[in-house]
Amino acid sequence: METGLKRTRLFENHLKLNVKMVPFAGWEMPLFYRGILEETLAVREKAGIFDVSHMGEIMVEGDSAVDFLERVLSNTVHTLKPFKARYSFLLDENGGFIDDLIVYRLSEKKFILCVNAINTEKDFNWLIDHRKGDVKIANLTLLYSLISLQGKDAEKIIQIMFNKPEILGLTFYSFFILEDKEFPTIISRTGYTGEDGFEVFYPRENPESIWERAIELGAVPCGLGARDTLRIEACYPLYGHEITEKNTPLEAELTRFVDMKKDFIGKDALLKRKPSEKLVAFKLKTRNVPREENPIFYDKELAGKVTSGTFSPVLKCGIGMGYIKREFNEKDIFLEVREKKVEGEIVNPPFVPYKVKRGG
Amino acid sequence: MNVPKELFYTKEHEWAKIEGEIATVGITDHAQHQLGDIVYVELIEPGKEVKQMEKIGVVESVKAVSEIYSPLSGEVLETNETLKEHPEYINQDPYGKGWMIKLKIKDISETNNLMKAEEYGNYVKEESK
Repeated sequence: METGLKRTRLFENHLKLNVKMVPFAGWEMPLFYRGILEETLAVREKAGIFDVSHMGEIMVEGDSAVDFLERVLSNTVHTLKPFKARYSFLLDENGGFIDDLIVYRLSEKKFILCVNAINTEKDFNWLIDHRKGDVKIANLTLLYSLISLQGKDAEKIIQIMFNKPEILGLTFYSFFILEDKEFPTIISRTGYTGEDGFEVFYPRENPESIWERAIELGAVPCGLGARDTLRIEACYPLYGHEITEKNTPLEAELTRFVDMKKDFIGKDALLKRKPSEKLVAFKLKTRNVPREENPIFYDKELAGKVTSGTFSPVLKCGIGMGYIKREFNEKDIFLEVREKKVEGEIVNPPFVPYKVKRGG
Repeated sequence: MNVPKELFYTKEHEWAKIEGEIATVGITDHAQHQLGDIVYVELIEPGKEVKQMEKIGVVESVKAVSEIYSPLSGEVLETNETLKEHPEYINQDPYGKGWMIKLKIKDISETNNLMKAEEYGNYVKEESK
């Protein structure tokens, strides 16, 4: 069947596992294999493996690469050491989110940006349009597979697979280059789950062996459904939900990834902006699942709306994130589900404690 | 896909098992598979009268919300209370532990509006084309 959707190099491996595939950002991707909740718990308790090869990789290289990235990214780049990564935003002139991304510094003059699948083309074009000086920009998305191994057993599994002591020494947001070529294999201690874990950027034809071997060693195949539930439990934002072109890091409470001491596109707008809303995390007293766009109420007043929701298999209740007006400070909220009030409360993020391996 | 021979089926993917004047009702294996992990179930109160294909409840999965309709008219005698705490029974055992309501059947001739197993099996195949 011709779907017009892109397929990752692991497509056939997914089909072998009785998977439910769905279209996502122009790709045909696994939603779940055994079930979203079982996969979510596997990552929380053991280890899960995700094919996230739909994610975009954009290489930025050249004598002006640092200056260029300082200008287009919200977070600082020049203090980033080689083999370290940093979370950042691409903002437009109004301070609105074009995307969120991780910038990996491969060497003094060479970087890879890992961006959202849905924004890869948009980001690439934005970077090309704002290019200045000696900078080469290349979209390597189709070259790189991206396999994410997450959970407390991830370290053990990755160590058996690659047998490199350097991997054990990695801390959160640092990485290791396996083969130092123009387009290297990168093993980074990053993820989108709140657990310890690794992501393998693999630039060759046969990622199947990595995928199959990790599963043999106990990693549970997980789809985008579990990925979404895990990132909501960790209160990580997702483009198109918590972060959009209509809001900025001020509303999203993400200013720690914005360096106001430097110049970058969107800074002037952020300096002038008075945010009227704030991003909050909430949980329900019931097992109802908050849905995007559900209104959030305080007493009788409409306070805002839900941007993401799921059922947390850890907390066994509905959880979500949403924007509310800044003047609302009380804890107790309610949603309206099928004309009935469902009570909940605002909580401090995250829902599940972070287990990432922080550096000393 | 599991489609037990002895049951009747609706186009909305409910099943009914008829024993004398009592019908037990739930959703099909196909329905639970399409919904994915079910995390919340809301069912009509016992004692209520329902008409054929009237709404008798709602299930929520992580990804979707789905209404449940009664395959037959009748009085609701009992609902499966264990589903409140264990909605996953619907995924694990849709024709057994995942049953939803028991009805006192009002008009057995209404089964003529329902599908038998083979017909339902073909209907699902057609629908998923």
